[in-house]
Amino acid sequence: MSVLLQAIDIHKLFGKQHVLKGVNLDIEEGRTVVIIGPSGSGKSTLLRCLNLLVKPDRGKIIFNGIDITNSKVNIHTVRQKIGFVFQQFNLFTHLTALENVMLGLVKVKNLSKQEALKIAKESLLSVGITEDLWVKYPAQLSGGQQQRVAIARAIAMEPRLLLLDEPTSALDPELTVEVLNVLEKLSRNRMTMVIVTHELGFAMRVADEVVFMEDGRVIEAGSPEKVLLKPEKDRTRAFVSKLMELYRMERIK
Amino acid sequence: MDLNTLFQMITFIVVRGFTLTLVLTMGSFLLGLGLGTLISFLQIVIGGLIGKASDIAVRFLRSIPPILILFIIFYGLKVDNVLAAIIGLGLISASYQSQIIRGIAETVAVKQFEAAISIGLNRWSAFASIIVPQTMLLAIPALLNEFAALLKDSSIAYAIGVKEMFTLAVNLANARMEYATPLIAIALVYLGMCLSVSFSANYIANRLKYMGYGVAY
Amino acid sequence: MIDSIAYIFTRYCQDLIRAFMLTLQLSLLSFILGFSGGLTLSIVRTLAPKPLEVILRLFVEIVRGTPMTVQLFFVYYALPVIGPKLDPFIASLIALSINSAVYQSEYLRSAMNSIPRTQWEAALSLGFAELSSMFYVVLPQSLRIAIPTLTNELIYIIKFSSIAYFVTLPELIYVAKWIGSKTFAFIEVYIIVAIFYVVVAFIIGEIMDRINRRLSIPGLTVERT
Repeated sequence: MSVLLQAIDIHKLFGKQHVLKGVNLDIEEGRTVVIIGPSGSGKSTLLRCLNLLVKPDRGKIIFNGIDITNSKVNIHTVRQKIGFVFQQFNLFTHLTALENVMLGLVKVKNLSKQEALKIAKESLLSVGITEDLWVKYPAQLSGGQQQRVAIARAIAMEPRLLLLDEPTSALDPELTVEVLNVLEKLSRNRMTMVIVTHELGFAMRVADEVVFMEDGRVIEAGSPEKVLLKPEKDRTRAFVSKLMELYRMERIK
Repeated sequence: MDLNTLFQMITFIVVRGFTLTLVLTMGSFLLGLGLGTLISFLQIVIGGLIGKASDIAVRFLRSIPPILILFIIFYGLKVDNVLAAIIGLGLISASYQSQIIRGIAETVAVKQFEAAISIGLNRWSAFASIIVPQTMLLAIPALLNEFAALLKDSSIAYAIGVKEMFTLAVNLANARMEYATPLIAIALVYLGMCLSVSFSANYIANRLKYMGYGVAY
Repeated sequence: MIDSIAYIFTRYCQDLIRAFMLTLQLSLLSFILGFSGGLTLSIVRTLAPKPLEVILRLFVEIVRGTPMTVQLFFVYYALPVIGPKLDPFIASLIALSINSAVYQSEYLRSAMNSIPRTQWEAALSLGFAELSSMFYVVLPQSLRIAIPTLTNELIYIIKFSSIAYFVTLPELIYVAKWIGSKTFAFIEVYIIVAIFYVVVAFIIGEIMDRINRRLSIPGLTVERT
């Protein structure tokens, strides 16, 4: 399996705050990597560095063999190949679900309206958004529906890498399942994904690799069984067990 | 254009006209404040037909050009031109200030009314001791902006011959047959005044935000 | 008084209508030019590098900090020194347009800032460049949000087009004075003209509110106060 994306020694400062302190990450093609960690650990910032929404202060990001941190690279073309799904969905409020998915296809990839329509419809159906919802505006959709449309929007662009920043954190618990199922399906179809999440059950089932981050650094990385059930580092164990307890409480409810 | 003359003109305009400009601005602002609070009081607390009527009156005042109102009051009521200007600008300002105060009062009321009632205050005390003070405090930045607007609108009194700063500048220009310098002079004077007022408005708005009040103006 | 009003209205109808058309032309044209200018200004200020932004900010503060009367007099009386002598209509048009452009740019910028930054990020993530993100995502939303404020701006311009009176443009106020001087029924004419303005403001308000309602999208509606 080839390495699709490499993050090398990433540092990021926001004012005086040193948010990323030398992070290294290798993402192999076709694998699903889940990043876990306490809030403030820099997980979201790292994710945003991967498609250069945030520019690292030091370090390199090599995507598909190209150093995208080099300012000479046209980042806009690169971003077409990297999909991003946000915690707050971020659907375009002034467009319907269908138009949201079509916008990038027509205006960025310059496809014809018919082609874009076809791809958009397929995308939406693959995430379980049925035809009656296509003409609805985001304000008229539930959180789970909005997030699935957001996923459809990202995958319609046929990216080689999909980044997801806590995709289910803003959802009511009942709606989380429908989104996680979509992500599981994508993972089984060998989409390369990096997901920041707290959903440990999902990580156990679906992830090929789990990365634990704390305080701007990668503390431990490995298979889900290793990191979640038999962690090496104390800090990992402390975090995971705390989360598991929360999880057990949720389950009992 | 020579800087010396510019400064001379600025001094001349300010010394001779500042008082009147200030009188116009303060007069119309206070009239607007009094009338404006009365109108918003009518609309919020009393409401009903009276509220509706005042709403219509406000829309009327906001549609009519200031010059026209000044003419109607000056030539119609035959009062002193300074008084006419104060009344005219004051009426217009009242319509704007009533909107500002009403908007803020409604935002405050939504948040604080329930809280006030649940600690045992009746409608009237809730209004008087909780809503009104907060409204007036939050309204300060927006009202300061209105004050700055009145500063600028005071120049319209030129139409009825009030010798405020703008009129003086124009007379100066006519006397010397040269327009650029006096106009730049008066522009600088207004800039100075307006910038200081909006500076204070921003400062106060930021302090209010810091204190936890986040009402946009 | 009522009969003098009726008399004036019938006798001077043509002149009043002509002045009214002039006022309307001046106002609408200034608003449209102001909108184009304001839109460009707001986009440039949002996307431009710091030094340019500072210069534009300076310009905006100057226009906002001085009365329209000063600006009008400057364009009509002072500019001819370095350029051609402008006729009252053109001078008023220029002064009003620049003034409106500055204020409209501020309203548009405030509308743009109210759109969450994340809409912007979502557009960039799809591969949009900055300008396109502005065009396809931020502007469609900000323009809708700004409609009520821009409606008020239009009504404001119609009101303040009256300052063209000072530079002898035969708009409504000027013509009203003229009719007054011929009939000595000043108050009556002024009242007629006042009614003109109120009716126009009302009609424009209703039209724009209707347009606003048509363009509104669930989740993106703003009402006018």
